[in-house]
Amino acid sequence: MGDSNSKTATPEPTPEATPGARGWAQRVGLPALGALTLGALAICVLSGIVVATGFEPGRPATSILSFEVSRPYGWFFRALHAWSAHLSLIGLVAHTIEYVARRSDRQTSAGNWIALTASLPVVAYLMLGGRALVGDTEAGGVAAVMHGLLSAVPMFGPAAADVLVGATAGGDMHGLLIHHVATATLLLVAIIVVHLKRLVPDAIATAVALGLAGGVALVVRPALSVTPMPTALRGPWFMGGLRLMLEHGPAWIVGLMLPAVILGLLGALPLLSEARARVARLVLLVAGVVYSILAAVAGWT
Amino acid sequence: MRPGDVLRLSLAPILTVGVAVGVLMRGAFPYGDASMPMVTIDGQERPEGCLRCHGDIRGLGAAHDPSAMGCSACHLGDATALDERGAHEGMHTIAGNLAIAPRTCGQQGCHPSEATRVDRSIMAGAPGLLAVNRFTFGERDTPRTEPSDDLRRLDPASAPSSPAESHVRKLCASCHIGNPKTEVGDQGFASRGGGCTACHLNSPSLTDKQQKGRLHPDVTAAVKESRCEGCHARSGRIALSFHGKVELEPTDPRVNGKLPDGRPIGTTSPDVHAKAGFSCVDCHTERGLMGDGRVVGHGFEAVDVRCEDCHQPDKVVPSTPADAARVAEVLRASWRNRGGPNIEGEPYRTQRGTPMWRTDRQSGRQWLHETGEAVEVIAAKEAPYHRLLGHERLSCQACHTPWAPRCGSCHTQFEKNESQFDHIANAETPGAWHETAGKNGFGPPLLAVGPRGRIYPFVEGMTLTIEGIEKPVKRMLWAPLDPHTTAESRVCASCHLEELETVYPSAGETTRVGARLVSNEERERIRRVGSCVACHSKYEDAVFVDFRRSLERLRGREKASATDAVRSCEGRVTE
Repeated sequence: MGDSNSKTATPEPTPEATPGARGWAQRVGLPALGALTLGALAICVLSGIVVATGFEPGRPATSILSFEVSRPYGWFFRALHAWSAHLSLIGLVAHTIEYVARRSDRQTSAGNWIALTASLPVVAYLMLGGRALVGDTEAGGVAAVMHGLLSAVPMFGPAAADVLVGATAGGDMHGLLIHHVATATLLLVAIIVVHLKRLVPDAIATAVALGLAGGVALVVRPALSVTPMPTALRGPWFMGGLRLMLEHGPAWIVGLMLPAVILGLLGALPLLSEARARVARLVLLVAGVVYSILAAVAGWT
Repeated sequence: MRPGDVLRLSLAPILTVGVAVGVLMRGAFPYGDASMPMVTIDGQERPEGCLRCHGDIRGLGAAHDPSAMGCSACHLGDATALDERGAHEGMHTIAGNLAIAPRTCGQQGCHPSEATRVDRSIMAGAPGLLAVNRFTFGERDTPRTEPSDDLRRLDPASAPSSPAESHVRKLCASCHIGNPKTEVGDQGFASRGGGCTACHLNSPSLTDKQQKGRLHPDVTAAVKESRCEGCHARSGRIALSFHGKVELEPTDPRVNGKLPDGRPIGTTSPDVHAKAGFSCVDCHTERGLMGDGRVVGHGFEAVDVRCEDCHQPDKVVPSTPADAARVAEVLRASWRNRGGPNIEGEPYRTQRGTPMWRTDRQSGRQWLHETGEAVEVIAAKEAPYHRLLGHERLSCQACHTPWAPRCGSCHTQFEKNESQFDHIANAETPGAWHETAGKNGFGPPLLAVGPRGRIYPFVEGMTLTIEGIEKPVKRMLWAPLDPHTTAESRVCASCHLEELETVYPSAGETTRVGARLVSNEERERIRRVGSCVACHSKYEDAVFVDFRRSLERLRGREKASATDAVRSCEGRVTE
């Protein structure tokens, strides 16, 4: 995640670092996307620590509700944690698209680029895991989808699913909680350190991220619904495209192979010749647009 | 410094301060500082935010106590929402309506079997009613029920496809429990539709009324007779007849009261079961009322219990379906929880094996639903009249029904320029039907061959004219009916000596497949017996032990045809 505002700027040339090449967000007066993403992530981690103090994996939804209702400002910390996580995801995806669209992969080392790529599945796991940890009706469905997708991996898939999601998807939350607050978060931090060669976020970008996520947190309560008989489980918005694809295709293709190919293609960009990289970028951008359309359709229907 | 940089630098403090102010304005506990109420259902603890505002609700019995199971289990909505709008999102005030019942009353862990069965029952879709109406209007050649005969398959958005459909939609459909109930609370005699609510809603108990708090109707397996009356005081009027009430013409001198809907009534002898304190569900099992999962057209196919189930208890009954046994156990437990006596003995069982769980076969007793009193189950007498040869086809009701509501004529007029409420569209729509009954009264029922081949009580159903439609209708229809006026048997003469046409009509059609009027040959046989009844007036008379052989002996002696032989015998006695 590049950051033009850092005094310890990375030696890698990025859209923000290249003189005269201002990033998309910067053009509208916002901090660079990478900096904004890192700031949102920092807020997410800090607010997550507060939320974790009231979380009970044996009664997740209930403990979150009690945290919201009975803890002073618990409602805000929970909402801030959720919306800053969403902001991180949006920022990371936008940051990646910006890099691909501006062919920045050609100006970045392969290791740095692969680190950026590797952060995507980790963030996806953290986001899905976070939704599953809410422990409400929809969370059970999210955990089941996570477990099902991981189980579809040949050989070690079922074992990995049990370790990463829990043997009873949506039931025992202890394993998922450990990965959410520790393993996966630490892994993401390690990837960021590799990618940015720094850890501390930019103060202004963090303040803007706090303003954006906090503003939403003031007015929108994150999902938590224990409905005995839901008419349909829609899942979080970022899962919408995946849900639609899973409805119409085998899980191992649409849930595993397709994302793996996209990620592989993204990670391999610096290694490809310019001609092939151009085609790959086009494929990635089309895939991004298609997924966005699918997510929008899923959200609409 | 570029303009973008200025914006970026000023945005950060503005946003941060804005959020801080917003947080402080909303406060530490914007959802109130009351803790989140919890309920435990099936061993699982669940947050039930509804109780933060509705914790004072009273009136529901132990089976649906909101402090134990909350509100959202029945009414849906979002019990985890922290604001009123969110909490009421997706909520159903009348949870029992059949369209929503699979997710409310019928959800797994509650009453899935019952909700599934009732959805296929005749009370939900009224298939027989629709089929007979289409037959009556001449739109079909037979009253046979077709798969399309289901009130719920009629399109509320479309105009009725035929006069029969229009007639049903405007005059009949409100009763059927597939029709949604729209008003909360207990409307008593005027209550219509509402799925599970139609029967299982009771007024809050007096004890609850004395407590502080908002009142909710009780929802219970203890279905009171008042729940049945609203609909079953119409058409066959069994809910009235059972208690000896008869609908009369307003000018009839026998009128001595009014129903809550204003119809004039008189009184006569009630059913013996009513005298003993029975209510509807003392005989009618849950499988008979809510169905056993089969799709049937008419009541005679749906009703589970028969007189013989209690009064000839030694008959062989099939084994009890597992689900029926489970439900019976649940109902016995529910009865005990409501303070009913503990009943542990083997119950009487219906023809389909359904346990009549408030009975004890060994002690021959039944505990009455509404009073809790124990009554003796009386076995049918082993008397000669129950074994008379020639009477094998008689149903119990044929002899033990002294009277039935009789309606001599019905004039139905369609006015296309008026409008009337359509109970399928749930709106006022063009066209109105006006019924003018004539000669409302009561008397001995007619006898004909019922749909199962047994001699059964019949009533006018109807002698009607329908005008104002393209093809006016004028026909005489007879419908089988168990009027629920059980009493001591009719005397022999009432069937054999009366003017036969007044007991066994020869003109007209029946409204059930398999039913028919008595044939001329059967009528002649009845008349022949009648000739003897005039002198041999007691059923135990040797002549009736085997009437066919008695008649053959007479023919041999008189050397004449059966008719002439009887005639000559009559003459001799007369002389």
